[in-house]
Amino acid sequence: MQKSAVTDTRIWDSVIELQNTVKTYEQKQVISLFKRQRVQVNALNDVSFCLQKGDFCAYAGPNGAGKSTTFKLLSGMLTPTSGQVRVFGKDPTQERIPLMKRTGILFGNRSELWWDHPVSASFQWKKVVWDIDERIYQRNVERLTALLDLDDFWHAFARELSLGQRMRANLALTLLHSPELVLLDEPTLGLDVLAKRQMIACLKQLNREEGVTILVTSHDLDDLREMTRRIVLINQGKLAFDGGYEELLHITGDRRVLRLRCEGQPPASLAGIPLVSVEDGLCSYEYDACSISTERLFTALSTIKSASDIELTNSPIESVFAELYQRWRS
Amino acid sequence: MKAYFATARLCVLEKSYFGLANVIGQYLLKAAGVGALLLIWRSLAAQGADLGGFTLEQFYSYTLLSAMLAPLLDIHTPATGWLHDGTMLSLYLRPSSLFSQLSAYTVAGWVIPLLTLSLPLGVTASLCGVNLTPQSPWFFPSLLMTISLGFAVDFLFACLMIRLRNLEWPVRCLRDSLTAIFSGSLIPFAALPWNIGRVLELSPLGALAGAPLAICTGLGDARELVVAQLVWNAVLWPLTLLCLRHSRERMVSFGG
Amino acid sequence: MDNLKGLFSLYGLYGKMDLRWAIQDPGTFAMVVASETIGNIASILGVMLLALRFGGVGGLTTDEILFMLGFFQMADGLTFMLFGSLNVMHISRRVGRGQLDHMLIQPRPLWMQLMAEGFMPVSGSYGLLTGIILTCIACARLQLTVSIPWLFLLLIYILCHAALSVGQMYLYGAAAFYRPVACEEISSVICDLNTQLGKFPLAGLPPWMTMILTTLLPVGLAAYIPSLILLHKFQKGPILALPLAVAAAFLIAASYAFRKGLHYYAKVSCNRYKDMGFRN
Repeated sequence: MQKSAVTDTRIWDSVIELQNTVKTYEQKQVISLFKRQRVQVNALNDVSFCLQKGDFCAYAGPNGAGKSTTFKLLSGMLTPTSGQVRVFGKDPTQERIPLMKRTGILFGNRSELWWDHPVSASFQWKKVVWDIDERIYQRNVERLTALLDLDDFWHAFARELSLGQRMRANLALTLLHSPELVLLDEPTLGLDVLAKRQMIACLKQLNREEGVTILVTSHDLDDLREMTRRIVLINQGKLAFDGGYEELLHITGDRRVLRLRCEGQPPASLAGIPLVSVEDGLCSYEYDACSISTERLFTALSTIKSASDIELTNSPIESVFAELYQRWRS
Repeated sequence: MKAYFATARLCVLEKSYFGLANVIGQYLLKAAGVGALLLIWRSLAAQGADLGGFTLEQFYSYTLLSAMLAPLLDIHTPATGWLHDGTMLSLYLRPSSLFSQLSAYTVAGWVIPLLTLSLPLGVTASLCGVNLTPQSPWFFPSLLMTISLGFAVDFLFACLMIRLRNLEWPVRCLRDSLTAIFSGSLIPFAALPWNIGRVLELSPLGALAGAPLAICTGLGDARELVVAQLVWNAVLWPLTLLCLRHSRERMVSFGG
Repeated sequence: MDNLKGLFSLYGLYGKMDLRWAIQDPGTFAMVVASETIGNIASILGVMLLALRFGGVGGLTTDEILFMLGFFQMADGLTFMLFGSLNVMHISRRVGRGQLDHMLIQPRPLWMQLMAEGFMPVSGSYGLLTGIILTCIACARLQLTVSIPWLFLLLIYILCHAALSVGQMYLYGAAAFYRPVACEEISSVICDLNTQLGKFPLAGLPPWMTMILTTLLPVGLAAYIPSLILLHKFQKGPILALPLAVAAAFLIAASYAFRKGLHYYAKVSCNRYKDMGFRN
């Protein structure tokens, strides 16, 4: 019964497809010097989602939610305990080699660069191992060095690069064979603002112009929102949300922050909105725009005589997620 | 001292988490190596070789003690590896001296091999009638000086690695090969030709394993060897401290 | 055919990369070669000195011991040249450190990568060269007649040594799939054991010990038995095929154990990761 349900819902033209995927690990825990216990950990618990060609999707969740496990399943490093994983309609563990020709994978904390060689040597190495056509190789090297600003350290030893340079070089290496699918596990890890912008611009361009399917994880949720249109949220191995950011904000509440500069004692609440913080005379009130009308808010504001400045902003996405993660945890 | 023991305790526990069954294989292989070397001595004696006036028993004791005391006779601190992978930098962030932290890790690292290899080897050897009792009380001060000298030599090799732009592999290769032969841990100096052994036992590397083993088994002159060890300690420690001071900047910049 | 072409293209690639490494940083290259050559010579010196002291060891004369050490150095040097780079030989390190993932994202069969990635024809050739020189000196001193069949036999036994070394390290190294941290260095223990004991002649040992040291823990096949055959101490009999048979057995067992380990790895992956050279 289960099997037929899987077959019925299978979408063959999808790039990535997870159907009721379960991945269980056994973890050894040390209770004391002589006492050990083994605990079953459900890294993924009945997760199903799929990505179509050209999707640019964020994959987020708190630490230990199962993001890296999903990436390892998609790249054929792990087999699921049950359920199905398909990439371009194929089983990644069975068809690892042809799939790797079409897929680019980057784990933010790992480097594919050959550390004792100049950066350029790693690209030449990849050209042979991935059997990249000379024309495509030249075109991609030119384009990626320009997009990610690799010129300055193209001939430097990989071991001597800064973290930002290493990450950019790694991303370029990941994209060198013109992959149709790109899996990025925390690609912006440790990057400065400029490097991050370069990386995001490069990925957006690739997705827009070449229709590359991208699945990206990051703990920097503003980055994710800037890059992607869709977000899949995972929590404790379970799929918690799959959709657009607007939809997500609707669920979590359309959080806004009202900042008010006033002299004297600020009101403890404003039309029922609680005061969250006061810093250098700037009072912050956080509220859900869906649950209070603008008219009511302005009426309440007009009663404060000592107000000298008012600022109304969306709550940072970080706060939305922090609240969401907190809610999940509790 | 509290900090020292806290570090050492965690280091021993870290190794114990592996489970005895998981590490025992490595020590069984090492024990097999010792067994083979003992049989080689026996075959040499059987072919009527002149063992330099010493008995086969003494050679047995020498090889067994060398295996049992291996971690103490050739000190390997984590310094070289940590310099290579950058862990060294984090040692500067703790409120303890570099030496005390490194020695805590090193000394704690002896516990498992001493329990899993040395103890069973010692018991088995004693049951088989091999005499492991020191032939001279000078063995104990000699062993202490070997340990002290071992730390100095290890730090010197770490400094050499820093000089060689963090090339861990060749430095380790060089060190392992040199110490295996010239420290007398594998072959007793008494078994070497042309009196090379006499020269080597007075050399800095010979003052490592060769001296306490020769004193313990009666294959060498205890007082002469202890004096040589004292001299090398007095020479190498100031040199080590000087090298460490000069390498500090490179150590931190490479280690970061 | 495609696989063979792919394999040779990888050999070409890694050969070029190794050459480039040697050329681009000649200072480092010189230091590596110097230290490894000193290391190689020092490692055979112990047995050589014993032979000189006692006028031979284990029924072999000093020159015969020199031949045996030359053979060992040559065979071990070749193994190092073919598999020495990036811990391909010390496979338990690659597995135990979670570095196998780097290979799994390459669009090449794993066996092909393992065959080629450790190849370093330039920076890894000093052991082989030292061995060739020592063997030539020994042959001249022993006035050995070097014929084509003899050279062929020499080559076969050298390849057997390589297969035995790699086979043992992969067989025992497969344990790292199951216990990544505890067994990370098991290949190195095997390697050290072979390097240390493989250079000793094993004559005079009790038969049971000889049996163990030529089968289960085949340090006797690393140099001693092949040298006896090449020195015409054994002209015929099943012993001539012993190195080949044991090497084949170890390769088959290693292949089985490694495959099984890989299946397990696909279920649980590796619970740790250590970077390949980059500082933390």
